[in-house]
Amino acid sequence: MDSSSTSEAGPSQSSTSFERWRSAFAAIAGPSSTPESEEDRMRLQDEKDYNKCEKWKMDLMRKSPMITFMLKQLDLAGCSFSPSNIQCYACPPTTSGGFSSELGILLCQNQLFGKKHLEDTLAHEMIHAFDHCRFKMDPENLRHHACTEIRAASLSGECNWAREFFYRGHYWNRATVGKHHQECVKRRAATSVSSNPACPSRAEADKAVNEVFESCFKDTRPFDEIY
Amino acid sequence: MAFEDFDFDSSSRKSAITMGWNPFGGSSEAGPSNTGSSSSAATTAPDPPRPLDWDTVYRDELRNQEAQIPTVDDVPTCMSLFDSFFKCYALFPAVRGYYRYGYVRSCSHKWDDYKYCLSIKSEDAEERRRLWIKRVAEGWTKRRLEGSSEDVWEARRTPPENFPPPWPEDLGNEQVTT
Repeated sequence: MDSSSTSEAGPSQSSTSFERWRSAFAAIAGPSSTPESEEDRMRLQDEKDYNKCEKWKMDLMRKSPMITFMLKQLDLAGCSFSPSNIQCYACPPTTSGGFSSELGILLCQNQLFGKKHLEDTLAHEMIHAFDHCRFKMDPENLRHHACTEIRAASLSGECNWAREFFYRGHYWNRATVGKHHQECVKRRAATSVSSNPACPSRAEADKAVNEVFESCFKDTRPFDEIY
Repeated sequence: MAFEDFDFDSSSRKSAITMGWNPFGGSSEAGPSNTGSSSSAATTAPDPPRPLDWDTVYRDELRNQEAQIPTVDDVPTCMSLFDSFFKCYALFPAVRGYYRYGYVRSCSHKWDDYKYCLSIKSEDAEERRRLWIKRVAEGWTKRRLEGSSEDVWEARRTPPENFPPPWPEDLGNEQVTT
């Protein structure tokens, strides 16, 4: 057995099975690792996350019906997205993705629960991109922000029954099944709007969402209906 | 919790926030310049978008549908419309409709589409395409005028410039800093 690979003092570049097994158990064992090896572990984890995010992203852009449909609709609207406009990066814990009219679409490589989650996130951000492309959307206008969030939450698939039940534990509060989709959409839209720098409070976010809900929920473009 | 409160080491891993990402509306450094007046303006209802008229919207929709259905092969077949009608009455779509809308929606619009497809079956392919585009454009014009997101914002006539933006060269793609 190679007992000389006590590599606490330096970066562990080796990727032998033994080294991976050892470092995995060292990570579980906790804070006996040094700052250098902790940094290495984080760096390797980042690389792993990035590769996984990129691989899934390319797969989805080629094969997912939802993503290929959205790519086609963006193309027809005059705003073609290519893989370089959709970037994987590390983010803080509460975000899984983002859209910016100046930088494109962001996917949070370290906050993904799985490929389905990535698909929903990407579809959500592409709907924001579609709205920016087809409509005059002002990011500081809370009603506009609420409208695009309502549409993205409703059409991307993130408020479907299985996600609400299994991922988020919403076991049909108040024993209602009907229209729970709409409650989910309102809840998620208000959460997003309240993180807008131009939004003074959660109450204002809720007010904006309620004001525009009826108009924006029924506009399912580029889809014919909620699929 | 604000993004600034998270303790992440930007020297060992590039974080989206140090790159200036604001998940909505551009970089976080370029926030609203006068937050006082802009936040009060943003929460009161601004001027509503200008009202829509049938002709303008119909012309816009004809153009859209011409792009969506560029060739005769893109026109849906009557069989696919028939299948779509029957799928609407299956159990799972009905339950899903209840989850989404609180009631089971009518499927008669799908039957009307199927009947219309049969009525134009005797036309030649190009005429069928033209009639189908006309029907879809009329349907969408009606939907837009009855109430849509255009009560909140205005549709663009042309796509925005420089969108999607090219990825800045200096940000790079590497996740690992040396």
